Order: sequence, then structure tokens, then C-alpha cells
Amino acid sequence: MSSDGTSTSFTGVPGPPFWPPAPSDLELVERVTSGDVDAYQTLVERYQYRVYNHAARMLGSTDDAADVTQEVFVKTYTTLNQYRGQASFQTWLYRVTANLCVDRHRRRQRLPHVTRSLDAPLETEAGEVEAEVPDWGADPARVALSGELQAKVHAALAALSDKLRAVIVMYDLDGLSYEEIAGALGIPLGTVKSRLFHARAQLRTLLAPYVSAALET
Amino acid sequence: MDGRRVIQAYLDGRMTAKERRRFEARLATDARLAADLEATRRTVALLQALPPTVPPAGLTARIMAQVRTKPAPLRRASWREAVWAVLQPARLVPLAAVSVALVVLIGGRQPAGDLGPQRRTRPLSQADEKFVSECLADYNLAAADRYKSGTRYEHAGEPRGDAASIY
Repeated sequence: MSSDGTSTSFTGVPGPPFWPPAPSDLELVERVTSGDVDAYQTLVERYQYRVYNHAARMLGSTDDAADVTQEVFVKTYTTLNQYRGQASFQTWLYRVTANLCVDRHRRRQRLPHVTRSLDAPLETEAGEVEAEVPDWGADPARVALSGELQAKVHAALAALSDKLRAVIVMYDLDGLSYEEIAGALGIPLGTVKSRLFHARAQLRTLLAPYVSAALET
Repeated sequence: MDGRRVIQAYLDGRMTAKERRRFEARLATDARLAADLEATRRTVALLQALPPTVPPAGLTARIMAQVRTKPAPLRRASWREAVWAVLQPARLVPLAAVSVALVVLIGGRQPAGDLGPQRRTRPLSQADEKFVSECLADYNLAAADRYKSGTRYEHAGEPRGDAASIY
């Protein structure tokens, strides 16, 4: 807190004067389980972005992701009185999300769908175009993907099994730690490492034309 | 650990400082390992370059509207919590005070020397009193005999100890 009464966060950005600290997840859960439904909205706003993004990566569809996100928060709400705070609320939420994504994916697999080879040329209104290669600059982490490449990466992700995809999405996209993934999926730490290894290896094979092109030149 | 697993440990920051230095030294001389590392790094970079998706507007409102139709998930106290709630000092002190008051009240009404309701309602007859006296006398004689002969209470059913203590 500075001398003028304004608080300063660790990022150095001054905050409003005497702003009360945000309630923790556990405090909000206790308020909800004591009958305060409005407290749940704070939890929804806090986590819907993460849940929605995870579901979108897992299912490859924003419509399905919105449905699953809604389902996740409603299901979590109805069973909130069973939450005892052993794991973090986020881990608990991820567990529900992972299970509902798998359910949704299985239901969808029963429907007929069209698969497409990742190496096949794209068919557009202007005719067939060859697969585009990303422009790897000096820093690979700053690569920008065109719409076509995004589709390729999505397709490669969708080609992984549910188990491998869940781990790689949680680790490389959602930024969860090995330990958090183990808690969310209910699997040992060694299994998390092993699945991440296989997921990356398979993805690397699927995306080989885009990954190795620059290495060969 | 094979090369690719070492790469994973390196990329995920799961190496000690010493392991990291050794790995980086090896990278400088092993072109294949360096290419493997770069390919894995780029695979992860491609994945992380996917733009984030933004939830549709009104999703929170839709969720909350559905949530409000559900019964509130009110928390039920576990048996431990229930016991602990009763054992709180704030509740325990008045409970103890009431218990003491009841004991004093009930104890105060009882006549001194009274052995209880059963004795009051059915007093021993004279024959019973005589029988009890004879039994006691027999027991004392037997005990005295054992004491005189120097034997102790060693047979089953009787407490072990000095026979003299019964007098």
C-alpha cells in the first residue's frame, strides 16, 4: 500500500484505494454451500474461460465447448456440498470437465463424420492449394499460425486419443503442472509424464511437414 | 533415460542444475539430439500458437439461470463436525453446569445411608440376615484356617493377596 492510500499489485500497476482482496475459491464455495447462490457467479466468471478453452481444444468445436462449459458448472454446483477442499477447486473443475469432454466425444463419435488426411492438399474455391509451412523466425515460441495451419494443428490434436489429448492440452495449453494433471485425471504422476511424452511424439509425427521443414533447410 | 525423455525433462524444467549443464554440453556436440530438441520445441510452439477461444457472450447468464433452477447444494455437517460443534466450550460449560445442578438436586433428596430403591422396597427378613451372618462366619473361619496354615489365596476364583488383609 502506498502513502496515498492506493494499493500496488506485484505487477506494479496501482489498484483502487483499499480494494478488498478477492475471496478465495474455498471462501466462495463455503458461501455457496451456506445458501448464497450469487457467490457461485464469481466462481463461474473466474473459471469459465479456462473450462471453455479446455473443452474447445478437447472437442474441436466452440458450440460443443459452450454446451460442455454450461454442463460443467451446473454439475459442479449441484455437487458442491461434496467438495471438501482436499484438491484445489480448479483441479476439481478440471476433473469434471475432462469427464464430460470424454462423454461428449464418445457420443459424437457415434455420429458419422468426415476425416481428412493432414498431408492432403486443401480444397478451396480457387482449387487445390498445397499445405502451408509456418514461418519460423528466430524464436520458435513466437510463431504465428495462419487459418490453414490452425486447422492442421486442430486436426492433429483431434487425431490423438482422449487420454493423450487431455494431458497435452492441460500441460501445454492450460499450463497445469504434472501434479495438478495427476489430481484432475486421477492418475499417477508417472502416467502423466508418459502420456505427455507420447502425446508430443505423436503430434510431432502428425505435424512433421510443418515442424521439420525449417530444420532441413 | 532415452534421448526424447531427456528432452521432455529439459523442456519441462524437470532437471537439476547439474543435469541441465550436462545436457546442454551434450547438445553442443550431438547434432541429432539438438535437432530432436528443436523439433519437439516447435511442436509445442505450434500447439501454443493456437489463438485462445473466447466464451460466447451471455454464457455466464445462461449458466446462472440454469443453476438457479437447481436445489441449493447446502452442506451437511459430517459426524465429526457435529460432535465437535456440541463439544465447543461455549456449549459445554452450560451443559456441565446443568448436569452438576441436576446431580446436586437429585443427590440432596436421597436420605443418607440409603442404599437405593431396591433396599427400601424389599428389606431383608430376619432369616436372610441370619443366613448372611452364617455365611460370613463360615468364610472368616475358612480364611482364618488358611491364614494359620500359611497358605495364600492361590486357587481360582479368589483374589491373590495376603490372607491377613481380609481381617
